[in-house]
Amino acid sequence: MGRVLSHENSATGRRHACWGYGDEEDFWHRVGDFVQEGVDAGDRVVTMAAARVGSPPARDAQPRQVIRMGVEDFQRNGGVPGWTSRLRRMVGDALNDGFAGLRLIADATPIATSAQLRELLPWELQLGRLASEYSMRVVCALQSSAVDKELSVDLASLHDVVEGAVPLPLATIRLTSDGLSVKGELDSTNGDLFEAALAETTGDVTIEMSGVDFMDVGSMRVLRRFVMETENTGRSVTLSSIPDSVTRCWPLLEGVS
Amino acid sequence: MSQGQDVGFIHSAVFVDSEEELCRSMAESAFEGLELSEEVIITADRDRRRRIASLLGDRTHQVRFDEADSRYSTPRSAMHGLVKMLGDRRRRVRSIGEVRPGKDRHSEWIRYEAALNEVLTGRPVTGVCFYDTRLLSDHTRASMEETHPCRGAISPWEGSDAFRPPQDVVTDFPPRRIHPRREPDLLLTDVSELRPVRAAAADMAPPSRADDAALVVHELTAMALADASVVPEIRMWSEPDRVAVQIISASDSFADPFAGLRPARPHGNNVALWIAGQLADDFAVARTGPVSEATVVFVEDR
Repeated sequence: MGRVLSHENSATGRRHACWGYGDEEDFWHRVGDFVQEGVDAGDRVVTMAAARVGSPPARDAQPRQVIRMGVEDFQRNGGVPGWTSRLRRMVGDALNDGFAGLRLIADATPIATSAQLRELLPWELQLGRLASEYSMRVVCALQSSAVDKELSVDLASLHDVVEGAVPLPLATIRLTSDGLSVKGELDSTNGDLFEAALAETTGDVTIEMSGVDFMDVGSMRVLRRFVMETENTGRSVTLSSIPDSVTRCWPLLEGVS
Repeated sequence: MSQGQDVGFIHSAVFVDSEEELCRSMAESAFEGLELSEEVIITADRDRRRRIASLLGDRTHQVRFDEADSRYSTPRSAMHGLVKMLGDRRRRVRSIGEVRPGKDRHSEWIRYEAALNEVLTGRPVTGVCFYDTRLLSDHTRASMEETHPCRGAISPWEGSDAFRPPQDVVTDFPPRRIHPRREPDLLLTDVSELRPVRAAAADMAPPSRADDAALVVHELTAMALADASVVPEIRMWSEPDRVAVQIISASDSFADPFAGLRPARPHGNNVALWIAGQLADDFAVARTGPVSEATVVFVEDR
């Protein structure tokens, strides 16, 4: 399985995992296990990959319990906004059809190799939020040799769990129902990602920072700028559980204008 | 020199030899500031505040008083207090107080006064600095005269012939160096990654200061790496109640004569030296030829 960095969602026990795999055989083996686990748990399972077939059928699967989709479905159905609402409907449909929840395993490699972080970031943030708010377990798979290493680390930062052949990120960033939750270390290697994630928040926002172990001055400046610009638009920003070092350093950054 | 809203920073020294003269002169300066609609702030201990208040009478409530012990505990804290007090005020501020250089830190206070001329250029601030000549050596008095362009508590401000540009003054009063007395407990060479360095600083610091040590060492190392691809050496000494870290830069990264006294510019790159000066219990920089070093010490909170 490899190293695991966990950002377990304690509220529902569901997870949004990023998994780095080696080759197709590796991928389909995991898909088979994932599907069987989902079937055994009573969930509806959706697999999304370049090929619609690749793993053996699950044992004891009920009719319409396992759905196989192609990656082109994502690309054809309106990108992030289209898929966010579609996934919500899929969860609702699964529950209405008598299943316990929804599980999704997707080979994100074709998407990650053809899109840039700024296109993928909103999708992964929204997917993580959906996984935490609904009865969902999601695995985003990346072929480690095909995806740019820096992009892999950035994408991994947006997941609750990192498994397999993906470099462990320094921090994890999740979109929550009222803002953003950040854990780990923020420095120049992920400062741009942090800034982009802040920009994805809407309305009044809470930035939950109890899990932040380190924050460099550059990241503090990003946060300060976000607070000032956001409050200028009439939205409120609450910084929750700021690390003591940030509390001490923050006033020092006001400087002399 | 004339008083006016567009004059920028006015920095004036007043030399007195009695408490009575000092309080009278501070009150006189405060009255002028109030007449000019300036925001007047007097830094004084409790006894002196009472004496000055009796002179200000019913205008006392228009003056803000700051506690002298906390504001002037060290030059670095004085600079931070001043910057925080000024904030982004647009209205002219008149800051009145007595600086006591003392025997141990007089060169640091001289550097502080010189730094004010650099840091507050163009700001709408009148700084009236009082010195009790009974507590000053001739040498310190002469140095304080060199760091204040003006003399007197009220306008018209008398120009001082003794004034020297701040960069010249600090050359005569270089920052002291911190010399650990033994070999380092940890020596890192050819450093190019930040994460292991900040982790090491946190590990070797007393628990109550681990976060500050990690942040400051990270920022100083990042500053050195901005000028060169590697940092030649980072040395760390650990004691039960403190940690000392010395970062040797391959260039003159740390060679700022006002290191630790110059507040961070909003988009500038001197923030590492500023926060080192504010967060560390001790901080010194030095330059030797083409290289420079920064040393910070963090002591356990008690």
